[in-house]
Amino acid sequence: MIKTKEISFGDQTFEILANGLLYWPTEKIMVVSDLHLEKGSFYGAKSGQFLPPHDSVASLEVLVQTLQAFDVERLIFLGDNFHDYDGFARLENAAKTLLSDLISAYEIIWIEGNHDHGFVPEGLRAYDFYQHQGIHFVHVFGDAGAADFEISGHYHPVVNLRHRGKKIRGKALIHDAHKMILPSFGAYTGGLDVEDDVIKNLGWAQKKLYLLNQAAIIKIK
Amino acid sequence: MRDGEIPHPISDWMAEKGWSFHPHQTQTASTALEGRDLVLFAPTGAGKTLSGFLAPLIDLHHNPIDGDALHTLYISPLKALSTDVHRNLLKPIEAMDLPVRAETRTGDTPSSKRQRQKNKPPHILMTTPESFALMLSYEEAPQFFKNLRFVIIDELHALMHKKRGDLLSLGLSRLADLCPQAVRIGLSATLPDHILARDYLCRQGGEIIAVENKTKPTVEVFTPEARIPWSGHMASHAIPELYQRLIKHDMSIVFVNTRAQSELIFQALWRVNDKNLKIALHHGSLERELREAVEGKMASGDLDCVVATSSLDLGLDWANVDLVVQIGAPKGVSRLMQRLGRSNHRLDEPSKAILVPTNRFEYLEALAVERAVKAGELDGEPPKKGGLDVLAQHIIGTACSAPFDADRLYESVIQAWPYKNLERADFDRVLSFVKDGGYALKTYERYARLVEDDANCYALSAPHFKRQYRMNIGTIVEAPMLKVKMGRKILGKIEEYFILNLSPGDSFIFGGQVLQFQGVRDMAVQVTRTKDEAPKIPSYAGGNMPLNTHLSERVRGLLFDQKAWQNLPEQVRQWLKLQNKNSVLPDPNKILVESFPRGGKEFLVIYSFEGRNAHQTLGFLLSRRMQRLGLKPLGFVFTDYALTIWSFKRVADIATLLNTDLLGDELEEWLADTPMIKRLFRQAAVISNLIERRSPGQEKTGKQVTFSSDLIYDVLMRYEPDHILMKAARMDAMDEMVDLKRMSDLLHRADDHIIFKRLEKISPLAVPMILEVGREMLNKRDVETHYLEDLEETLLNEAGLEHD
Repeated sequence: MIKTKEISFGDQTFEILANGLLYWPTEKIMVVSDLHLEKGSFYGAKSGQFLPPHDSVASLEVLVQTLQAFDVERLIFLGDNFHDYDGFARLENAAKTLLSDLISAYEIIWIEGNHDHGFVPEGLRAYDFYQHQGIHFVHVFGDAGAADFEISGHYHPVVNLRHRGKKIRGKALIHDAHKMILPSFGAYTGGLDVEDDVIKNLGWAQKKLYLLNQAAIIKIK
Repeated sequence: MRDGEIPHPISDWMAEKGWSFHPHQTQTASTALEGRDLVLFAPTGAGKTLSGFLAPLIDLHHNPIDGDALHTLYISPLKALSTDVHRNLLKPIEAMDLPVRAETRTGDTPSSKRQRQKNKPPHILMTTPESFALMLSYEEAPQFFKNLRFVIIDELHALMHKKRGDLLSLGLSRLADLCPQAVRIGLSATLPDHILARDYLCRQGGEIIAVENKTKPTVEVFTPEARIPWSGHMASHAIPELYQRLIKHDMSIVFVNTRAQSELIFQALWRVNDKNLKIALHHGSLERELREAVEGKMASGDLDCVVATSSLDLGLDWANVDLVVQIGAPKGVSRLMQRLGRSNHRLDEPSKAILVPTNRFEYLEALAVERAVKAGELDGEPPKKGGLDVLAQHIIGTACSAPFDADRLYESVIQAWPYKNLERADFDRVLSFVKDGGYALKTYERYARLVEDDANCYALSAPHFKRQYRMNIGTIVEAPMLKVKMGRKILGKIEEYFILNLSPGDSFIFGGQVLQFQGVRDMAVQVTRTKDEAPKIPSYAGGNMPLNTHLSERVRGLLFDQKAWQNLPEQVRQWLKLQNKNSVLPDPNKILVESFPRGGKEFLVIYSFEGRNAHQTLGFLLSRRMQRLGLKPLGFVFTDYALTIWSFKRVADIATLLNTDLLGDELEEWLADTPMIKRLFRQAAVISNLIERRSPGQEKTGKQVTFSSDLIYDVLMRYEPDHILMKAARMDAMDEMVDLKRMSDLLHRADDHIIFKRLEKISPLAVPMILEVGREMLNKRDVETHYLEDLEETLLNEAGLEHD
């Protein structure tokens, strides 16, 4: 069973999943950010760096398994769902099937990101942002204008720290009273250190930071 | 050509200087002129390099080249060596005014000069294996190498059985296709297996020319008045007496095994330097200019002592060094001989070395080395199969030069010694990897790097792959390093992970100075000078070589043979006597295992003497097994001599633990997720060009652009565990862990040869091991001397030893 941690944000209760998904139990909503499907084959096609082309299947399999373990009706793709506009065309059959099964099993909110802008799977509409119960969902923080409560992705936050001399690295989820940034979910997605100015300069008040790894979700001081 | 007679102006030049040729020099020249490949084995100071160049100079004299054509290629593992040899060769060339143009070409050569060299090659070109591979990848390669007569490979022993050697061997095979007439002249230090080295380099009919080491070096094991520490590696006890010896010599090199040691010993020597000796520091992390400055001062005799790591091991000539000191055990006889070669470059005088053991076990080891040197024993690097990642690089390079026929390329590849047993199926898989990744899914077929134009002929699909290949050439994959900068001055480079551990204001030792960390700016570590009394020591990766098999056998023998103890200092002898009384001495044909309680935990010490790598692997496997058996293992430490593992519960049945079946499941499991295999996979991914090198100073901007090889490894492990790159990494793991073989030998021997001693308290032999535990359990940077001393005192009382 996957580890979860309850947090409160915008007067609502959410659960952080250790693999980087965000669950909203009362609304039966699951949020997945920065899947970057076909990131591997993007580099193969572009520059001859033939990375193993299994990343999409790997990401989607984990996503499907997790969804099955929770009571979910609506699935929000928070942008950069594909690594590039053409990614869908390169998707191998097994991955295509996984994706189309997902699309028929859940109500899908497909938000576009900067990477996959202009692409939306057949039968779906593309959102720039989505609003539910006063909470905004958008790919890049602030892109949908000011909001009281906003959940976004884009930055792939990670934490690097040392504990008793051992280096620990993990995906990170950051939030304060008004905004939350989710970690990336894709198999090949790297990360940006939460201490990096790019993330720091977004302006945080009483920031809460969680380190996610398979074993645990740890709140970092 | 007669013995000692060289039909060349150089004979007159030599005569003028009062020099004459050694027989091996003329023999090397005549063999090469007959068109036969050869390897010359000679100790340092035997004029090896000149031997190699005689044939080319004579040939150029009798068959002068009209215009610009490459006649001789000189390849050495070190850029510095190429430069040095170039300088030495220019002397006679200029003195005799020979019409010979000699130049260097390395990674540092400006591109304008490279371009010029490509169009107007010099007669003699000095280069490195990487630059050689690069030249072979040019479209003009066939033209460029057309007139090549000789290729000299210097310091062959330093390249053999390494990935750089794989790259070189493949290059030489290709060169043989382009210009079969080019004679290979290998120059090597004396090795235990000359035939192996000859077969490695030469084609059919290759010759061995070996120079006897006329004088055996004198090796002294340093016995200080002061107490020899139980554990530790810093030799601080020996420094004052060692300093007295340095005063008596003109110039000495103090060799250490790790960079951390070099920093500390350097500091310690300066603390006692009341005679104001000029003492310098030389290690691989220091900025090139700083190292070159030290080397320059050594050459001109402006220094009294240099503290150095293996960065000074190779090649360069320091004629005026009259003492070599080795701090800590040299871990191998050949390595010591190589270091000894740095002193007294005259064949007829013995060189002199002092071994300074840093702890009691090392004392035994030093003695074992001294005996091995006396016996003329040498140890060689074990042969290894050629890396599949290097082969991938070679195939891309070949395609960069011209389209190739796969059958012919395979034939050429198996002419290279490391690949002589390469199966066609593996070659084809590597070829398919180069082509489009070689995955089960045909995702990349449309984007293939190679196109097959008829049945078997492959050509590069787009010219930009050439640039990519040239940017990523080479087999050395380093840990990420950051520049260390004081103001604008660059002091050197340091491992990124050490810096991650520091907060601004912390101080650390680097390049012999105590520096205060200010922060990281523009990918460089900014520092200022400080006078902090307790700086941190960078714990550098690597540098710790395992004790080799010969020596470990000698150490075991010494330990058990009470007659041999008379050569030991009293304090060491007492220690062993008490071991014999309180427990038992480890029988060289058996494995002693001691078990005792301490501080609420159960300790198990396995004295297997198989070297640190084998012990580390065994430690991992045993922990897993103990976990499975519910013994609650807590941790382990290892040295070259023993493995110590501690747990909450006591091990009752040693036979179920130390069993050959550890080599089954536990090994598989461990191999699949050890950081080592991931590190090797990363190397293979970089060398085979799957992921690009992170070029120095290249900054990650905003979003991540570099690929984590760990993520790729995980995906591949799950979906295509048999992919050729996984195979490459596993092959490397097996090679890197020759020690895996040592470990399995150990377990096989263990079957019915364990002596299991249950003790009430710690044994004398275990004291140094437990002190390692103390070290390990503490955060390394917080190791405080007084704490350790306190621990040592407690342990000694427990073991019934007096504090001397």
